[in-house]
Amino acid sequence: MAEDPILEQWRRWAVGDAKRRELAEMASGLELVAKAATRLRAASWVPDAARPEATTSADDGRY
Amino acid sequence: MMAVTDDPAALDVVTAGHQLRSGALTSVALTEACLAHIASRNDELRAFITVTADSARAAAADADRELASGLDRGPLHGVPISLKDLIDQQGVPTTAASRVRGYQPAPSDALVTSRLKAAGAVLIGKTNLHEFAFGTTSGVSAFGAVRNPIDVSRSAGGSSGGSAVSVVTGMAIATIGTDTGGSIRVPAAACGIVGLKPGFGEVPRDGVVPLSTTFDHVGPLARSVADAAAVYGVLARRAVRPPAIRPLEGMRLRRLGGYMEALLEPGVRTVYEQTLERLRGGGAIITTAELPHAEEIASIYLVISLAEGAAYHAKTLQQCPELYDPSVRLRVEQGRYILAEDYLRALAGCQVIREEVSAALANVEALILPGSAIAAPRLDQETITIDGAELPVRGLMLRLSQPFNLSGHPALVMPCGTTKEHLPVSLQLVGQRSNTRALLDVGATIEAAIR
Repeated sequence: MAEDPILEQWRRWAVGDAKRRELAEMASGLELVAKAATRLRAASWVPDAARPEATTSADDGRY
Repeated sequence: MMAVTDDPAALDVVTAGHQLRSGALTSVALTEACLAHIASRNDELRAFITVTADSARAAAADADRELASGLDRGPLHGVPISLKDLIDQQGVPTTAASRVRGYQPAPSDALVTSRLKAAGAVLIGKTNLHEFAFGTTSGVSAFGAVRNPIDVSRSAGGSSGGSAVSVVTGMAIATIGTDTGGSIRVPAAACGIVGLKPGFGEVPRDGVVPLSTTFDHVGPLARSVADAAAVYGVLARRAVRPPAIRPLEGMRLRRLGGYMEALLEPGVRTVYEQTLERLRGGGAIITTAELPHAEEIASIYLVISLAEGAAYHAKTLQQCPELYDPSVRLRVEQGRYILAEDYLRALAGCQVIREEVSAALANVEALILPGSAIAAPRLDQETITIDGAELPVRGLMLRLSQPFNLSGHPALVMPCGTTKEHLPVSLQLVGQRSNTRALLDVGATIEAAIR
């Protein structure tokens, strides 16, 4: 998946902000968060507004 | 480990209960035996942060009087139990193993504490942990690192490390821990005892310092499945009969493969395979399944736990960041940078994992997998090499436990052997949501088969 430009901008900002706050050691942790966010954005369950919705649950009287 | 086999502090809950009722043992004697173990080894092992000796002695004397008069409050009546120091007990500080909270007494009991008191349990003290439960080793605590009694150079696992040590050493007969990504099951596995993470929502968390509200569970660590069942019954306020040991022949189990078996320390893999072979030999029918989205579990866990942890700690991160251990502060600070859209994607991922675990449980009585991918690591160890890859200890310790914090299914670990270095290896069983009782039956059956 192509890098999400907002996520890339966020990553740079977060690492820079951590340095500004004298928490530079946090950079590797923030990289892990960025990797996790990238994975989640590519996950199959993430909705796609361009696709039709699918109803997968049974009409079991809950609603 | 405990050296004297006729020591009452070595008894399990069930046996101690029989002896307390027959008059062969008093709660006062049992409590004194536990206090003696605390006095002799706590400085070395740092299992307890606070020992409530006076109130424990008074509760034990009350229990003896009540039992003698015919008032029986159930299986924990007169039994010394320790509490992880995230759980409030009125009049006793809840430190969370941190300098952040100071040493101020809790104004009231957590719901689980009041249930234990009503059940006649003798609360013997508050146990050490990884600061604010933000770690898997119990190596970071304002009160010193917890040491594993099997090898004091090694971690007792975490975050409920002090709780596990209290049970292994006879400082308590059973204990109450919390489990956000494995914090009951990881120390139980590292110390070779039984740990139960009940189904999500079965045990109340009121009065318990949170880490991540989506994942937090409260449950017991104990010496047997029957003991864990007895404590669980009190915590969940359910009438739980002793687990039924059934024939292993024909029991349907499903082994979780793929991601769940991809990274195991060789010693753990060997013992795990031997255990499965023993179960097959006893007639268990073991099939295999994989969770299709298992590779996303760590990302889901990271995003949710960090964001929720940061929300809880936001005020103190502003007011007194210097009071956190630097490693814990960094983890909590990371959560402040999580984006809302990623948090929501991760929450949706929990539902996906929940459905996949439920699907894997179709037509079987439990899922089966190792309790931990690694045996207890050295306290100073940050990475472990498996199949040529250097991997972080933290990720390996959480890898097999955190899936069921995401899914909310009950999960039980029990010892199944030791490595060549004599370190415990554990088995994990996962049951149907809202049927922890059935899981305990399966657990008791397997415990009897592999003992």
